[in-house]
Amino acid sequence: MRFLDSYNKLTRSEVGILLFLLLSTYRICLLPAILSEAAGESAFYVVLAGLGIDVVVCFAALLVASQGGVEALSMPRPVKRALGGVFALYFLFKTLVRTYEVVHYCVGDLFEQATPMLLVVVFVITAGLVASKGFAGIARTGIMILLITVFLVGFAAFYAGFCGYGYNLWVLLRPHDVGKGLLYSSLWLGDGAVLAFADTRTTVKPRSQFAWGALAVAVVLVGMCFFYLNFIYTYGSAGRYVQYAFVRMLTNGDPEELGAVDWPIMLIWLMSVPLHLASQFYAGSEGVRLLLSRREHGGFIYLAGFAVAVVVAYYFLFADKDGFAALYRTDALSYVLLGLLGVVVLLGAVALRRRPKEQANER
Amino acid sequence: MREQIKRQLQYDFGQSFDLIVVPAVVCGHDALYAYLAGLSDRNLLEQGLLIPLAAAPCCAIDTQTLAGNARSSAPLKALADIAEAEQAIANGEVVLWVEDAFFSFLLPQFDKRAVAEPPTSAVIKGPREGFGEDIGQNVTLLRRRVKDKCLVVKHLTVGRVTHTAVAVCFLSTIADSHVVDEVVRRIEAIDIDGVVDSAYVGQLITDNPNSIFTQFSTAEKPDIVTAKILEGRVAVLVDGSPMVITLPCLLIEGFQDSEDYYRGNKRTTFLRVIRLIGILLAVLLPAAYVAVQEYHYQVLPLKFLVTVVNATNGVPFSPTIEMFIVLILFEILNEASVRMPKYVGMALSIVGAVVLGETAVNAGLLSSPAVLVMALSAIGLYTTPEHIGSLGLLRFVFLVMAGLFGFVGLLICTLVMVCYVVTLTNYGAAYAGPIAPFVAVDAKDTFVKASLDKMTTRPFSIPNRNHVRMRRRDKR
Repeated sequence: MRFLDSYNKLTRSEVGILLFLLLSTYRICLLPAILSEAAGESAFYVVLAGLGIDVVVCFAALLVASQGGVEALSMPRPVKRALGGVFALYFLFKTLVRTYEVVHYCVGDLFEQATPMLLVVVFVITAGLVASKGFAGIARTGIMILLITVFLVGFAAFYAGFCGYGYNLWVLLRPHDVGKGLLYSSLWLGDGAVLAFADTRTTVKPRSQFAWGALAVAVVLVGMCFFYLNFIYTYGSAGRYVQYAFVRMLTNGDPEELGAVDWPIMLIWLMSVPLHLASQFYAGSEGVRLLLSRREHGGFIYLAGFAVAVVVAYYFLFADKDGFAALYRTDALSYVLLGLLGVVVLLGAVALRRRPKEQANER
Repeated sequence: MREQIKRQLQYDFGQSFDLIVVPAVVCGHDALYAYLAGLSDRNLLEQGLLIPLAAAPCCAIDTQTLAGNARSSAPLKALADIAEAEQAIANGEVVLWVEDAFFSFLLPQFDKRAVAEPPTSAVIKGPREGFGEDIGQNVTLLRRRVKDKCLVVKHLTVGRVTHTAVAVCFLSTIADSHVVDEVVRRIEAIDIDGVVDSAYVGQLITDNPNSIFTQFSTAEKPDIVTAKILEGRVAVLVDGSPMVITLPCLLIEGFQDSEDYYRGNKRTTFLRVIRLIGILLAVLLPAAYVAVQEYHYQVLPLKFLVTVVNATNGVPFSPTIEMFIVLILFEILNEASVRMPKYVGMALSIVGAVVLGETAVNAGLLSSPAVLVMALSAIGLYTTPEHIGSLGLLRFVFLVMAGLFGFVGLLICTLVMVCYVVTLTNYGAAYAGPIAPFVAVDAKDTFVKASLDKMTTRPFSIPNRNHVRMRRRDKR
């Protein structure tokens, strides 16, 4: 008697928690657009446009999921295999960069004693273990972690007194360099694309897609406000200069202006990182499965291969970390990444086109 | 022929002194009664069977004749051969051999413990009855609480040598038939020489026998088992054990107590949150203390840090080793005090707490914060007795990971542990349900407990065929 009959099938609460994990964990990477002048002083519009892209990708992914995922869409097999390959590469790259950024940040600001390679291995193994349980396992772990962190930390304590929160608001309304800001952010957008591999046919009704999308936007906004307010509360006016290590890299910010966020917040955030990585990881392995046209879930085989690929790629790329950072910040790559998000939207359109036919047949 | 049967029985029972074989006459035929002394009522045998059957007129022997002439309503059964007869004798029945046929009568008589309050589940408010070792008595205790024909008791036997009676109890209108069938199938599949306690059966029929977490709930009180049966669970009673197993088992059951349902919902909610904080303290506090001391002292406010540094100054061990020693000492004291007789155990506790703890701190071998952390962790552990075993082990794992990797180790360990828990299943139910997967309808009896009038449905987290528990009526 197995409960996890399908690794991809998700209930409504699981879709909700996955949305939260996917859209909130790295959403703080858009904060530099607010807090830093390096991304241009068009922060507000960059964030707004980024959110728009996120919401569209999220809608599309949810539409695909409501039809059973990419695998269930009726398309010629070669197209599916090609899509599998593209997605596998996309999520591999994304996992790699995200791992790189987190490790860089941890070594630089949180756990100075740790070595980067050790942290990479620890993160990849953890994410791989969680990913081996599929989307359902990741989502359920997320629910439990959320419960633990709520009780463990008591968020209310951080909001005991707000002061000086208006100081940074002035940078919000300067509409310059929106395009540049978006390009720099391209790697951090469209995390909801992962859900294109999920299967919500039995649990989420097609008409509730937009409700989920609205929820996603709300979650993202609340998450961003939460971190923003925490910044301000922690550092007051100095918050303007506070940047994450990976945020600095992303925005070419000044690495000398070192700051650290409140510890408990970072610990909570760190709990969600492996789960986020795990979902990218699992989506990547699903891409591989699609590429190989396998029906059964590969489980550890695909995931182990994927994990090894991440670690090996990391090892070679991290040797030249400046070069690597420069690579994934190039304009060309940013266009490619944005283009891949367009593929997800296209799949969403395919799912949307297919839906009325099916409904007509059902009638 | 009679002598041959007698010799055969005595030989097969190894000339056991408690095997009583009585030659007799039944309805004019030579006969033989055989039973084990102490397991059958001798008076009933004489008055109900021996005398009336000896006086009965000569006639053909069958169960109807025997039942008609006997002065006893004891269950009567025809047996196929001598092997079956021997098994019946071993089961405590009286076997009658007559006219080359074997019959058995159930005339049980043996001492059993009276119904009393179980020491492991003492309550301030609520029923005080507890199960005993006799399976018949235990089934009766359940029957007295569920006076309905839908309470089904399936009888099984486990153990090649012990032939232990096992009863599977469930409500036929509520319990999921797949779960019942699966429980029965797994019990029937047990091929073991003997079963001494219900824990044997529990361990042999769980989905995840190697799991660190409790995979089957046990209860020693009929009110608890009744409540669980009413939720759609299946109870397994084993002869000789006062512990009744209930399946499927969920993680959340460890946080629930029978008294929770006899007191106000607000107080219960508060206590459940306290229990959750208790286990978080039990598992995470020693590890977090070590991680902070070893790697992340900057997270402590300055005043707090100064106090801790002053207290730990001069301790010859690293924080990890120190905490490890303190926890191991606690486990040793705990084990010794549980094993010792009651009064010696109390003395041992005093020695452990006062002499060992205080002297070690005064001598500078251990720091007082470490002892305090251990004490808080130990107290937290006992808020959920169901999970003491698993959490007691887990805190060592967390401690080692925190000692090696600091907060990263702690976070990773938490994630892996949680991921493991959420993917466990137990007879078709998610072990971490109704939290993960989250079942909103069942959330009313998790860490937050709703009032009884809100609990209109049975848990959806447990497979059952009837989810309506209560129909609400307008309050007047």
